[in-house]
Amino acid sequence: MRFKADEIVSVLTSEIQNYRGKADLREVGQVLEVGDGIARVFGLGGIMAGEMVEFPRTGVTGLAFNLEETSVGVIILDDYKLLAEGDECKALGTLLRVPVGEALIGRVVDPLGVPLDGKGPIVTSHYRLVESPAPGVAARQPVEEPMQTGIKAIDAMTPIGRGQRELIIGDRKTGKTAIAIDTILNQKGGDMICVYVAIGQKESTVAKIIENLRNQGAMDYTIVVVAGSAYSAPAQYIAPYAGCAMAEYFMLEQGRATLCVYDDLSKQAAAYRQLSLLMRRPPGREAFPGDIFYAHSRLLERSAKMAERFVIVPTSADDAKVTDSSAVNQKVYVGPIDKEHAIKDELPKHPGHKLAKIPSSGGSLTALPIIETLEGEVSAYIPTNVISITDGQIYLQGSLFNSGQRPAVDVGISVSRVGGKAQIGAMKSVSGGMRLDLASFRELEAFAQLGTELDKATQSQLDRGYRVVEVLKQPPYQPVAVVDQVIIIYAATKGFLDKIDRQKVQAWEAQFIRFMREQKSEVRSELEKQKKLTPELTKQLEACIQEFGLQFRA
Amino acid sequence: MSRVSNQSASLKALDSVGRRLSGVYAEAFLAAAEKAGSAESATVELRELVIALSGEGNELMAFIASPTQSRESKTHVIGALCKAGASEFLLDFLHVLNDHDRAELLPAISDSVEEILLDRTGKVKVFVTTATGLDDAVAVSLTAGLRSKLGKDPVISASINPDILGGLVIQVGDWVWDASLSKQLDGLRDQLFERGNHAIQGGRDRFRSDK
Repeated sequence: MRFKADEIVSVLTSEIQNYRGKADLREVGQVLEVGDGIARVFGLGGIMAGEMVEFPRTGVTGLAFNLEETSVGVIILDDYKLLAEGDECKALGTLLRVPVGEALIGRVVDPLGVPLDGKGPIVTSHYRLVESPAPGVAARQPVEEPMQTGIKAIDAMTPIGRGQRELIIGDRKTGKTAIAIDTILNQKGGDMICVYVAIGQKESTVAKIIENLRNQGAMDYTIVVVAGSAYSAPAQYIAPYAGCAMAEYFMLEQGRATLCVYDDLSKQAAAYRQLSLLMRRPPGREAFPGDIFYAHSRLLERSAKMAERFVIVPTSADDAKVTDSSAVNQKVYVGPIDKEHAIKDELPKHPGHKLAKIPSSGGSLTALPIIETLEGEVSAYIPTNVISITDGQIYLQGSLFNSGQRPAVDVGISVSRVGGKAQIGAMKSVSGGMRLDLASFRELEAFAQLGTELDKATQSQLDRGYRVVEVLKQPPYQPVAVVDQVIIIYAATKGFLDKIDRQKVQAWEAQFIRFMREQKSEVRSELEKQKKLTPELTKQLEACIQEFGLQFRA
Repeated sequence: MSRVSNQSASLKALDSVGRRLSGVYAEAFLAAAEKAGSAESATVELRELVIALSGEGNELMAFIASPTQSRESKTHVIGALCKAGASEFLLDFLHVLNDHDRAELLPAISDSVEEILLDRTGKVKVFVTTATGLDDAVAVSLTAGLRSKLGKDPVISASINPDILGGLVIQVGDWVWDASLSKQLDGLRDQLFERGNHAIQGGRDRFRSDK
């Protein structure tokens, strides 16, 4: 690759010729005190809350956070140590924005969108406000499309839909991040854009995660926003909003499906608490400020499944260029009910026309916030807040993790309030009674440990339970395609594994998946296409299992 | 320090509480002076006192402002000032300040008094910074221009800062109008940098097969 230097020179020359410098009118104040990521500024009488400020001597930027009678509290987004008392501080008249767009995909950036990966500047003409209002009721539609995590225990029993907010909660070292990373890895080859926001984490951990994503080719569709534990509290506080803005661009402007992982919001809450206390805002429960709930709710509320918008256009129209104004009857059909009405009643009135989706509509932003609990205490302030905001939670238990059940998802108390709507038909039919079966198995298991003699029916129920639990185990960073999940869970819940030694279940699973891919690909692809278990497919699948049973060698 | 640090040094050294307090004392000083019928002379006297106290080599101001000195010893010093010919009214004011342990606010109060008086007479203080001295013709047209813009009589306080290279910087209250050459050059540099980036990125995109 070679750059034409004279071409660049001509661009710059015309730039200089046409440069019309305007006098710069601005409001200024002086720094009274500075420290711990905040500054108190005198002056700036007309500044607005949330407005950006700049300290021209150092180029450091900040945000007006507290407007007081005689001074303004500013949170500093860069290195506060560069500032000194008496420095000039100027209002910029804008709100905080970050660069967004395709140029960010595959990049590692800080919360202001400054690249950290040494791959050159991010050149984009698109910017979005870090804090923007969540889409309203009219702009949304119900969450129904599945967002596959690639984790059997979750996709089968706590399904997540596109546009849902599903909390991942658990103690330290229980595999919370691994679940989020698995989910990102599982989007490979799909249409989803992922944003991973690391808040208050060790740089070494983040480096490992990025390495992992890169190794598996997941950076092709992922943006990583890093506000490590060495970052100032303001940077950690705004990081999730910045990540959300980056995802929102793809959802709102391009109608794409996006996934945003906030890892983790407990550290963000701690950063916000630090800021608020330094700003002398009154502390509340656990010393968190009164608006900590709103800090999380306004962030998570920005996750949405946007309504699909349809218009009637001539059959020859280009689908990619359809807009609101291209409708022949000046009508836009919003959401699934309108769509049905348009197909049934309106389209027949316009022969030679078709119903086309406006490309920028129907995007989604799925949020996977992570909360770290202390000693399994979910009734602490931040966990209860975020539990009540989200549409369900995945509980991870340290005891399960230590007993070798990984991912350590406690299926008994993990829920998804969107439910079965966000599952493909096949998964819904195989995983239907699984949760109840597992619950009764856990009860029996506790009973069996007493060493009492068990009748045959109970023993077989126990055996089945052990196999199902075994099937739900999964190594990290190896998401399983949903079709394979259906096949395996079908085999386990229908008792085809009862005769297999417990220790060999995982080997059986791995070999069977390979067998289905290599030797029975027609059955597998049919299931993939139909997305449900028809009686015909069920028969074929059972035949496959029988056939494999004969050649299985552990 | 930046080039628009025109606000009086005494006010800048104070925190927001100090500024508010000096405003309160200034109001009280003026009200009392008006009642005594000596507003103008008292103001001038106050300013002269501050200039005299904070003049170079004079440690009297440091002594008065020092919290380590007792109220009594400061009272003695203020009494000595009386012999130097200060008016009765000013002396009373100094004693009141001293009794409230606010003697260190003296310079700030003087500045505040001045600001209040300007405000009352429909004037506004304007700080003008230029690279070389402000010549008279420019000053006259500047005054006329500012008067029509602000709707108040500008009192220009000019200063020279070669760092701005050319043009001028005008500060009225919290607002700064920066028409300096150095500012324009900064803007041009930023713009060139950004455009250069776009040009390079554009050139790179042309060679990429997937675009």
